[in-house]
Amino acid sequence: MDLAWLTVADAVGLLRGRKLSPVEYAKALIDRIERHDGKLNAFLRFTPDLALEDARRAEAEIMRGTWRGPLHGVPYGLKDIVDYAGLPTTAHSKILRENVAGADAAVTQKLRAAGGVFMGKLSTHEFAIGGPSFDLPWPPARNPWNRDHFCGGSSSGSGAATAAGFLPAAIGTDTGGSVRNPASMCGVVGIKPTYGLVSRRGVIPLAFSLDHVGALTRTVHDNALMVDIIAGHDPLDPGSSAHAKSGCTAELGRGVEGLRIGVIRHFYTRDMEADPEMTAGIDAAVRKLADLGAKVREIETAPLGEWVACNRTILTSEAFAVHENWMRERPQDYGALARERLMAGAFVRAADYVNATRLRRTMADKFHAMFSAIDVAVTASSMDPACRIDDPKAIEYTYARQARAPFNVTGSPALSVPVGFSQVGLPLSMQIIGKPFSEALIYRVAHAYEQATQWVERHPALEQDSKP
Amino acid sequence: MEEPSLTFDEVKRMAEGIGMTRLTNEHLQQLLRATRVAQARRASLPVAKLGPADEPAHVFRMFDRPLQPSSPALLPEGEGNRLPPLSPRERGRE
Repeated sequence: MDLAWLTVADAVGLLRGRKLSPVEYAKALIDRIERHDGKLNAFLRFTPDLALEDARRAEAEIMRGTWRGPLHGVPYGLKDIVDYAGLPTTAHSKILRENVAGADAAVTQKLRAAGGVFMGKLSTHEFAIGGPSFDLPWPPARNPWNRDHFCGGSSSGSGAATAAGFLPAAIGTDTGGSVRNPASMCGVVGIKPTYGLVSRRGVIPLAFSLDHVGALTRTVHDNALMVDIIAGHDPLDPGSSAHAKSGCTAELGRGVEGLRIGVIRHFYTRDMEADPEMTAGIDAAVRKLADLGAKVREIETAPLGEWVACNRTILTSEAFAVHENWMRERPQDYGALARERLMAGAFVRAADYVNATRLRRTMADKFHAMFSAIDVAVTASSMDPACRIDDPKAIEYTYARQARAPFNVTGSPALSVPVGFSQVGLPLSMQIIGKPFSEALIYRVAHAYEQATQWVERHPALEQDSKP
Repeated sequence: MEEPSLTFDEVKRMAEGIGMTRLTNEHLQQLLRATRVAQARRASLPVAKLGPADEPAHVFRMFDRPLQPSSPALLPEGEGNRLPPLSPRERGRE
C-alpha cells in the first residue's frame, strides 16, 4: 500500500482499526516530502517535528480507544495565510516574514480538535494575490504533473501538495478563485464553500466580503469530510452564517438520476473561448452526467465579463484598504505582481465600489432564483490547462481566463473537479455550483461523476522526474 | 463616457495625494497600468441597469444578532443581556 495516495476516507478504517499507525503514516509522507518537495516548493514551512508530535499523540489516543473522527491521525497542511499558533504566518511575503501567530485560526482549531496531524505551512501567492512570483523570500510552488508549469493559485502549495501525494488534504482560501484554480491546474478536488459556512477568523484577509476558506483533496468524499470538520458558525467572524452546518457527506452515493443540471456554456464558449481541449473535457463530463441519468440543459446568466468586473472592483477596493499603510510605507517590500495587482484598488471611487455591491445584489439574486428550475449548475473553472511558470505573458493571459469569480460574487458553493487530461498530460477541470448551503448536493453530483470516470486514480510520477 | 487616458504625471500626483510618496518610477508605472485596468473594468460594470432603489449587497442592520460578549459597555452591570434604558427624551418619542 502506497501511503502517498491513501485517501482520508480509506485512512479512517486503517487508523481506527489500528492497522496503520499515525506515526507510520506521517513518517511515510515526511519521507516523500523530503525526497520531492525540493523540486515542487509546495511547502513554505515544513514542520516534520510538529507532525510527529501530533502523530504520536493521535496514536496514543487511538490506542486508548479515543476516536476523534475521520481526520484523527491524518496529515494536513495550511495555506500560509492561515494562522497556526506559534508559527509565522507570512502570506509568502517579506512584509510578514516575522509575523508569528499568537493564536490558531478558527479552522486550525477545528483541525487540531479533530486530531489532524499538522505537516506545515503551504506556499501561496503573495497575500493571496501576487503570483507566481520569483522575487519573494521563498520560491513559488510548481505543478507536480509538469514542474515547468504553473500549479495555479493563490492556494498553490495546497494544490501541489495534495496532487503530489504529500498530503491527503490541505486548506486554502478563495477570493476570486484561489482554491478552485490550483485544484483545476493540479487535477484535484477543491471547494469554495458557501460564504460564511467556514470561519475566516485567523486568516489574513484579501477582500472581506469575497474571502472564503476551502479545502483541497484528491477525492470528492475526502473534500466533503474536510468541510464537515471545518464548517460551523463562529460568532467571532462577522461574516459567519448563523445557518452554518455540516452534513456534506449525507448524499454521497445517491447518484444523479433525475437531478436537473444547468450548464452555463456561454461562459466558456462565447463570453470567453476556452482551450478546445478544456471545452471537450467539460462537454464530455456533462454528457457523462446525462448518461448517468441527470437532466441537462443550457442556462444563461449575466455575461462573464460583468461578473468579473463586479468581483474585481470589490476585491481590489477591499484589498487596497487592507494594504494601504504598507503600500505607503514600504512598497518596495512587495513582490512586483502583488504590488501591481493590489494597486488596482488605489483610485477606485467610493461610488464605483458601492455600485459594484449594488450590482452584486441584483446579479446574485437573479442567479440564486435560477435554482428553482435547476438543482446544480456546471461550467468551466479554468479556460486553459496550466501554462509554463516561467512565461510571464502566458501567466498574465491565463490568469484572467476563468469562470470562478462569479461564485465569489454570489457566495454560492462551487467545487472544481478533474475531468481528464490534455494531450500533454496536464489536468482539465469543470466546476459544479449549487445554491447556498447545498454542499451535500454538489458533492453528490461530483461523487457520481468521479465514480464513473476514475480520473482520481491517475497520479503524477514524481519518482520518474530526474531533472535537477 | 470614455475617460481620457491617465498620464504618468497625473498618476504620480494622485499617488502623492493619498500619501504614496515612496513609489519609484517603476512602481508608478505599475500604478498607472493597474489604474487603467481598473478604469476599464469600471467602464464594463453595467451600472445603467441599476435603479435608484437597488441596495448594496452589504446593508448595515441594527441588532440583527445577539449582543456580543466583547461589548460589555452595552450591558449595564447586573442587567444581563438587556438593552440600556431609554432616556426621558427618547421615552417622550414613544
